[in-house]
Amino acid sequence: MSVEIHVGDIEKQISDQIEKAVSASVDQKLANDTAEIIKRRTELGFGVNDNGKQVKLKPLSDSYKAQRRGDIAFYTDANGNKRVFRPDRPPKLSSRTTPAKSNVTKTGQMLSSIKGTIKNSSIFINVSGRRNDGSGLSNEEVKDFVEAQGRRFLFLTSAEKKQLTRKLKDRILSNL
Amino acid sequence: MAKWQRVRVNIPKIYTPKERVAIANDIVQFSIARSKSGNDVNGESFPGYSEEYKKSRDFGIAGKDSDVNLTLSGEMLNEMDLISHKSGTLLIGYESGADINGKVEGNRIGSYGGEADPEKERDFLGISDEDLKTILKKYPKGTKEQKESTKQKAIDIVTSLRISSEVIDVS
Repeated sequence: MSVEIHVGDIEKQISDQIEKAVSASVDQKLANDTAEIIKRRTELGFGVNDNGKQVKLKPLSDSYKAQRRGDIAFYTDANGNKRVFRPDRPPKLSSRTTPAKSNVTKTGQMLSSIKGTIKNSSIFINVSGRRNDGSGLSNEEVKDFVEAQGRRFLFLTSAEKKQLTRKLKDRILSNL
Repeated sequence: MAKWQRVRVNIPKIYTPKERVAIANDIVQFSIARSKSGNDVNGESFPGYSEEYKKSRDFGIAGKDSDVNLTLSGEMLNEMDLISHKSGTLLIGYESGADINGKVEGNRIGSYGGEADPEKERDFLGISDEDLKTILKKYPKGTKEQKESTKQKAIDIVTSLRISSEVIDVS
């Protein structure tokens, strides 16, 4: 799932003048602003519930917090069994998180990859690129895993929609 | 349970429904901008942030500095909206029963989850008579030309708001 904003979906009973103003207003700057809003809110530890309200992201499990503190780590043995060991040093966490903070941030790569793009007068917000942490995963795969764990973040809250609506309204009026 | 946070703003009864929506939108945007610049309803500076809050990680993540702007994720200010309107009256604030009312009340009465404290109040909801007058000057209705201009201005604002809302709401 990604955030998509389509100009083509609006009603067609609007004047050509307004339609042109709308198209001119839905641009890369609005896409960048939208991406930044989602990134900032997620870093602060908030996701979006099914009703579009801002909610605290689900807390991290005790086991995962221990991994982030460097108390434990896992490896898979030759027989495919998961084994626990105590690592020499803790994993390097982004400065924008802590071992106990649930904000979809470990190294910060995935949230940093959130970008807004414009295609056919529509804005698409998504993550992209591959990770350089040796996992071989893409940021998209990590995002899907995080959301499957119940941490919905790549959506807009009702407050964010109001914020963007007012911003877009001002831009349409200035382009009229 | 927090009280429902809203304020009634009285305006002249001469305004049409569309004009009331346009005026309310101006009031909400003015209130948000005024709060972000650190001033309350009466134009006085908000009390400063606590040292503990300033040292928090979230404070840094949000890119905040010592200037009080009531903005962390931005949810509290951005949820503010026109709730309803009728001739001569606008009701501005938050959805009844919504969780955000607690945070808004905490700021307005300075309780922040504890006891109300007038010294910590940051009352950002509403508009002073003087600021309202400034906004209403943009919607004159004295002459026929002014009435027509105000009518068209309101139509442009309401249409742009409706289209923007439709565009953004598909996400």
